[in-house]
This record gives sequence, structure tokens and C-alpha cells, in this order.
Amino acid sequence: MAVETKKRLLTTSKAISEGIAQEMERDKTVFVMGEDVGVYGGIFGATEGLLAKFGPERIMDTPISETGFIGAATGAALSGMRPIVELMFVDFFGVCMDQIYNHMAKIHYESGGNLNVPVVLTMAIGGGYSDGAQHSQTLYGTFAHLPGMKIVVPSTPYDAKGLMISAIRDDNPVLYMFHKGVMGLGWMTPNARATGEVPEEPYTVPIGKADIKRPGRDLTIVTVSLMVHRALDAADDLAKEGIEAEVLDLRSIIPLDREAIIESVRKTRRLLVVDEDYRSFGMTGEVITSVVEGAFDYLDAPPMRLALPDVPIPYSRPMEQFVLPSRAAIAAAARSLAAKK
Amino acid sequence: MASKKEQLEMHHQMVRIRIFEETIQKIYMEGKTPAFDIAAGPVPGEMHLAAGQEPVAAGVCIHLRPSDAVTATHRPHHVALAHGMDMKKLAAEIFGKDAGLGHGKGGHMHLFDPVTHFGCSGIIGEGMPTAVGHALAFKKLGKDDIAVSFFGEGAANQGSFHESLNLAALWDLGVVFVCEDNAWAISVAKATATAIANNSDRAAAYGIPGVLIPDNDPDAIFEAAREAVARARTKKGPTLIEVKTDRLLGHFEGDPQLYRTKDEMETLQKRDALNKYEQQLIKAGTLTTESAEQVWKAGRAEVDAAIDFARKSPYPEPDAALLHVFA
Amino acid sequence: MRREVLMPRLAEEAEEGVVVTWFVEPGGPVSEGDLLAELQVAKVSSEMRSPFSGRVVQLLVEPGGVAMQGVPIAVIEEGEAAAPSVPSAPEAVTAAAEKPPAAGPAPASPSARRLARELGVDLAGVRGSGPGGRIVEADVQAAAAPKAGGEKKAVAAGGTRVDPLTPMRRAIAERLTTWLGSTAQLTLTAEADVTALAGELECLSAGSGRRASYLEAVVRALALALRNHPAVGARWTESGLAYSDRCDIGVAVALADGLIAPVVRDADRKDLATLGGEIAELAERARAESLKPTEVEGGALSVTNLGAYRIDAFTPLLHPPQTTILGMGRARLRPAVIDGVIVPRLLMVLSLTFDHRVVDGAPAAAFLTEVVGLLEEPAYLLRPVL
Repeated sequence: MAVETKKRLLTTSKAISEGIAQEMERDKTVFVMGEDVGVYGGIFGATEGLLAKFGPERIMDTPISETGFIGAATGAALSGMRPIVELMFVDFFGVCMDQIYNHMAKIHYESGGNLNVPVVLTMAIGGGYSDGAQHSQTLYGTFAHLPGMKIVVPSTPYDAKGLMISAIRDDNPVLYMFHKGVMGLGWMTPNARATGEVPEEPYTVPIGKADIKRPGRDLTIVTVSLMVHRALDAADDLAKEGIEAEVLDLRSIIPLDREAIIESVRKTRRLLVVDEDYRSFGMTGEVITSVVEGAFDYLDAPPMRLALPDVPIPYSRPMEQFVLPSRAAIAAAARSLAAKK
Repeated sequence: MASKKEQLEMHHQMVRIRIFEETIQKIYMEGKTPAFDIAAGPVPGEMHLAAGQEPVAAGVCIHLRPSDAVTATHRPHHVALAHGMDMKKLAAEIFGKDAGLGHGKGGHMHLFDPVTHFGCSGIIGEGMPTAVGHALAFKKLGKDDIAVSFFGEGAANQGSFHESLNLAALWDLGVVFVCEDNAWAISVAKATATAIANNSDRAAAYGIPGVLIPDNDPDAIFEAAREAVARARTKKGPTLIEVKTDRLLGHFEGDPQLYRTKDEMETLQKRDALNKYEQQLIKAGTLTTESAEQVWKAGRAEVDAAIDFARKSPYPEPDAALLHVFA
Repeated sequence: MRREVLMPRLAEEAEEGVVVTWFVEPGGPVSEGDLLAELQVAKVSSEMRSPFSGRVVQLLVEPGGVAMQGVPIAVIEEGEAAAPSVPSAPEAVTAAAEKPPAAGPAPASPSARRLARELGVDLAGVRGSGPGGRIVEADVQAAAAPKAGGEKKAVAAGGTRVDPLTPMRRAIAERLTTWLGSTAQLTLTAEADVTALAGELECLSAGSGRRASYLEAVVRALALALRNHPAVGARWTESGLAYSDRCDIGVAVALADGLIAPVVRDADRKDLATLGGEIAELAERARAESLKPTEVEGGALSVTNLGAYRIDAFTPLLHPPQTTILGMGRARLRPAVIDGVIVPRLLMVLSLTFDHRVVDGAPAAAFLTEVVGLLEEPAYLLRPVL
């Protein structure tokens, strides 16, 4: 819960590193491992400034050995530490997935609840700046399908810090996915929504609770991460035409806040799900099915989804921009959904 | 020993590669000033340049045929060009144009060329198992083509390195593993990431020869590669070659390299292997200052023509993004 | 076929404008009337809508970039915003296929069915307004409405009429509210005794065969006073206050569905007869929509006349991007006090709205005082111009 003290603005990346720093001050068992997390501060700034504060014993640069150090994080967690381990790009999960989904995620269950694995696995996700098929994916749908891991995906600096602190304090494995485009990095395309008010003192944002970023009465747009920014931009455009879109930021994929989704659609009767992950067999399908299950009698139009098509993400700009859901495409979809009145 | 002709050929390769990398470095910044925006300009996204590492590419690839398979990394241009990739197609791919090697789909880090049997990707350690597979196919098909896998010293700490060397040794495959030790895995110095001093010593763990080239010398690389390639081709098995080379630029363009000292950068510039080699050849009479100038001129002209081709080529249609998922 | 979208003329005084934001992306579909871009001229924003349907081929100006009027700013491949000839485009996909239903009862959305149950409406008698004839909630609501009989239209609550917004209405709304938001507008009023002036105008009319009016007198008075008070004709810019060295006065003309203000040039150098003729001619061409673009730009300030109506005083809004506007009320015989005696005089209230960012109250009051003075002692106004 946010306590009303001095308000100031931070970028998402700075909010994340502040959250980590405050928890590391509070709890000596928290430490960070990963490639380039030390001097470099993390390729996307998530651990900026931490090496200077806490030293190389607690901010550890690793070799390029993901299976090795992510497996080590699981082991360390089983023996009393609370590691934060960074898998630089989510796209790299292929080289070390066994350690993540078969061990980190399952040991608590396999032990009948007797052992906890309090690991935070941080990963950069997302594209839109021509980084190609192997460096631009979001992939939370892939992880979400597998039991045993919580997944949080903040879209604002406020949520980013609160969710990081919640993730560290959570006794379960938490995948903390931050979109490169919401970090507010100086070397990426400027994004005004990547900077926001962040309270100075530590605070938590509950894992598993969605947030209405913009209330509306005509349709619900359910989305996450950078697509929240796009949906809010589209909602501004739609408002000029008299269409009030409600933008629901999931914030967590696992647990999925189905209650919030259903409550919103019961109010607006129309659903548009926007996802930067691949379309088929993922988040959009799960959200729509949850609505069909929980709000069937309140649907006034078939639910719609806008997602990355089932293709590898192309490098060349016109093609990449074509496959990513855009502000204009979201507005167009919302318009046609609202027009079904 | 490399013959004079071979030395001149290596020199030419290194020069044209250097000019290409420096030209791409300049063009990369177009559209990205005053405020750096990685997504902006004619060459968006990441850019990993190999200036300084030319000797490895030149010294190894001079022994290869187009039908030999080569896998490389996210820093691929020097190897691609040395192995014979069409510079125009490479440039067009970097510019994201339809006439590029992958119709703009792969970009600079994901280059795949059926003509020169070349492939590379951005995941550390991915190229080694693939090279093993190429060599396995050649063996089954009774060909004397070989596979060469280029990777960095950071990748030698990936599980796939160990699995690949073990497999190649176990199955007696014609693979040459070439480790380019440029001392840095982005910002992580080799000494803080690798438990031993030389990756070439790891070869012993798999019962294959490990060769260390302690400096960035094209002639020494040439010699070691000649032997390793001959070994591979005559079915005597894999080799690991480790070259201490120099990464003159950042890990990626735009990298402020705060983790490297100014002294280190100055030292690197001073011992630039390309300059050194050129001076060496001039001293030996193999090159004259004039003939050297001609090589640079020819390289300049070739690069300019390739860039011109790339700039003038049209972009793909946006919905071409949906093609080529399946054959 | 490829069509070019040109930078439009937006506001009175503009050779060029800024493309602030694009609402479409290259390669994306666009329908006629869709929001295309947000443009801006001298701080005044307006929206541009797409004149064509099709697919955006290229955007020729970067956001934040400047474009001259009439210059192409985008290229659209005209045609159906069609799906590409390749498998599944990334457009919004509905969960159910949109096949027209076979013979049988019309499909109804789940919430329509629920509402029908709750309200006791028989779906068989409801006409569906959704795609494929689907019955939606609004249709059930309409069917349940007690005075339903005869035509059922999908009406908004209360059955009010909705007239679509014309581009002029949008432009007026946009520009005035934006300018209101950027300026510190307030209005001073002053009463001018125009009895003497009225007499002079009668003489002029008799002499010239043309009905002389207060309007040209006020225009000339404004122009003359402007020479002594140039600040009211200055404009706020980020780099400083921009003064004009001419006395060009805009004259508001009411149109069928809006208004426009053609500019009378050098009003300080023209006599009343000339001004009167020019104003009449500009007004006629304004109503015929045949004004040239250059004729509505560059005014130092404007005048707006509601004297034909029973309006005494009002608070006119500034005409962007100007700093001052004078509103004229009606001239009416009213009691005035002269030398202690109550006499009937022709009095007209002048309402001067000005932008306090550029001009403070006292200088604005001084300007208005001079205008009133010129109208009350019209000899100077009537002096022929050399």
C-alpha cells in the first residue's frame, strides 16, 4: 500500500533497482546473479548502481552459463538464500529451461510443500526496435502454461518497484519480466509513460491483482506491459470519438486475476485482448476463455484479440512494425467492437 | 607457412572487412542523433562489429571452400565476408531490404547463406552443436567437406561447448572449433568468468588437440588453421584453436564501454593487427606502400558499391512478415 | 492506386504546419474518415482525417516535422483496407466465424438473451442490428421501451437527434478552445457616444449612394488607435512578442454554419467609403466561400459586430493567433448626462477582449479609450486619406 510521502519521478529501470536495493538492505540473504549485472548495471539497467552499494559478493557477474547459475539459484534458495537471478533476454530461456520449469518450479510441489524455492528470475522481454527473431520475444504465454511459477509483468514505474519487492518477499519462484520499451532507457525510443511517480519508501504491489489503468464503459481492453501504453494511447484517441475504453492492466500473468477481467466485462459487455506474445495458444486465448466461462451472459459481442501473428519476429522495420499490435490497430479493433452496438 | 600470394590474400580480406565494419559503424549512427535511439535510422537494432578480429577470419577461411559449413556468432561480419558471402547481400540484409540475404527477416545477427553454407545466430553457444551436425552429415554422405564453428571465449562456459566437443571427438567428426578470445563477454572480463587461463587446454578433456595462438597474428593463425582443416578433411577428427584477438570497438555500437580503461583502449589501437601485418608485409617487400594503397582503394570501392546497393534497394512489403514460416 | 495526402491549410496565417503525431502506421489499413494525424499551426492543433480508404504506404514527415501546405505528407494505397494475399493477417480476429446464419431464429448475443429474459421480451419479434443480423442488447432495450411502435431505430437514450460534426464545426471548436486554453483572455467594456458619428455617416451615405455603417468607422478607429498602441496587435511567440508594422484589421463574417474573418489591409490608410466598400465585398465573397487563403491571414486584430441583434455587450473570444478583438454592440438611443442634463443620445458599448499575456489591463484600457475617443469625435476618422 502506498504511503503518502514525498512524491518524485523515476524511470521503470530505476524503480526496479531501487526496489532491489531496499530489499537487499532489509534482508541480507538477498543477492543478485547474472551476466553483466555488476559494473554494467544490467543490460537494461535493472541493477544499475547496485554493485557500488553492495559489492561483488552480493552483485555477482557470471560466466555465460545459464544452466549453471540458474540451477545454482535454485540450490541456494533451498539452502536459505533469496537469490535474484537475471536471464538477460527471455529469448535465452532455451539454453536453461530444464532448471527453470522442472526444478525451480516443481520442487515445492514434489516435496509436498515442505521445501520453498524463493527465487526471483528477472528477464527482459519485448521488441519493436529491430532486434530480430531471437531478441524480441515476450514469451510469458510459454512459461504461464507450466505450473509452479508466478509471473509478473509491470508496465509502470510504480508497479515495477512494488512488484519487485513483492516478488523478493514471496516464497515462491517469481518470473519478473520487464519490457525493454517500458524501462525508460535513454538509448531507446523515448516513452513518456516509462517515467512516473514512485514513492521513496518500500511498498508492495500485490502479485495476482490486475489494475484498471483507465476506467471506461464501452469496452474492456485487457493487456499487459508495453501494450498497456499502446492501449492507453488508443483509448485517448477513442475518447475523442466518444468511445470510452476501459484499460485493464493484468500486471500478473500467474496468478491471473480472472475476477477483475470478468467484473470489467460484465460492466462493458465487450472485450478486446491485446498481446505482444504470439497469438495462438497463449494469453489471449486464456483471457477470452475465462470470460466465456465467467461472463458468458454479459457478452454483447464476440470477444476480439489482437496479438503478434504466429511468425518469428522479422528484423526489417516495416515488417516488424506490421506484426506488432499498434496504437492505430488497437483503436481500429476497439472501434469495430464498439460499433456492434 | 603462408605463401606471399596467400599473405596478400589475407591482407586484402582484412582490409575489406575493416573498411566494411568502420563504414557500418558510421552508418549505424545515422538517424540516431542527437539523442541515441536504437530503433531509429537506416540500420536499426543492435550492431556487433568485429574490427580487430579480422586476422582470425582471414587466417582460417582462406583454407575453406564454399561447401564447407561455417557457423558464427552475433559478431559475424568478418567471418561471413572472409568465407565469401556476397557483400551486397550482406549490406542489404543489414539495411533490412528485400534484396538482403534473408529478405530482411534475419538482420545482422541472423545471417544464413546457402551459397557459402554459412549460418549465425545471436544465442551464445548455439553454433557449436550445429557445426557438429554439419560434419555428421558430411561423414554420412561421404563428403570431405568440413565444418568450422567460430565462437567467443564467453561461449566456452556454455554447456553446449562441452557437449559439442565431446560429440565431435566421440564420433570422429571433421569440425574445427575456433575460439576468438577477445577478453570480454560484454562487460565481463574473461579472468572473472573462466576458471582456467586458456580454453585451448580444455581440448585435452575431450582428447582432441588444442592450439593456442597467443597474439592476433594472421600467419600463425593461417598455420594452425591449415593443420586443423587438413586434419578434419582427412578424417582425423576435430581440433580446438584458441586465438587471443582484440575487440577494438564496443560489444555493440552505442556501448559506452565504461568497464574498459582508457589505457586498454589505447594499447589495443597501438597493437592493431591489421596495421602491424601491413607494416610487416611492406617491410618484407610483399607489399609496397602504393600497392597497399591500391588494396585500400579497392576495398573502399567495393564497400561503397555494396552500401549504395543496400541504400537503393526497396524495403519488403510489410505483410511479407507472414511468409516463410513453413516451406 | 497510390494517392498522396497533402498538408492542408489549417488556420488563417500559416504557410506551414507541424505534424505532431501520426495515428496510422506504414503498412497499416486506414478507412476514409479515420484519424490520420494531429497537425499544429502556431500552437493551434487540429485533427486530420484520412481522405481515402486503403493501406498506408508511407508517412513522409516524421512526428514533430514541419511541412509546407500543399506538400504531400503521406501516401496511401487506395482500395479496400484488404487482407494481404498471405495467410492470417494480424488484424483483430473474433472468436466465432462471421458466417451468415442458416434459416432459423436470428442469433442473439448472450447479454441480449439475458436481458430479454429479464424484461420479458420475445426475441422472435426483435430485429437485430448487429453483424449478420445479430440481436444485441440495444435491440432488446429498444423493443422493451414502452412507446415502441412503428419504426424501431437504434436511438440513443431519450430519442435526441445527432447531427454529425462538420469539419468547420470541429475546426472552430478545436481552435477556439485551444486558443482559450493558451491565452489569458478578459474583456473590458466602454460606452461610446456615437450620436455625432451617426450624423456624419448619414451624410456619407447620402453623398455616396452606399449605406455607410458603424462597422467601417470602428475598423478605421481601431487601425488609427493601433498605430499609437502597437502592443494590442502584437503576438505571443516563444522567442518574444512579434509586432506587425501594418494596420490590417480582421472583420468577422457570419456564415451559414460558422464564421470567418477576412482581413482589411492597411485600414489606417483608407477612408471610410473605401473601407465600407471593401468590407462589403469581402463579406459577400466570404458567404460565397470564394475568399482566397491570403485574404484571411495576417490581421493584427479583429472586430466582430453583433449590433444587428439586441446585444449590448458581450465577451468575444479571441481569433487565434491574435491578441485582441473588439466586439460591437448595438447603437441605441439611451439617456445620457451632458452638462448635468439628461438627454437622449445614441450609445454603443464596445467590448474589448485581449490576451493579458501580451498586454496588461492599463494599456488595453488606454487603447480602448482612444478608440472610443475617435468614435466620439469623428472628425479625425472622416479626414480624407492622402
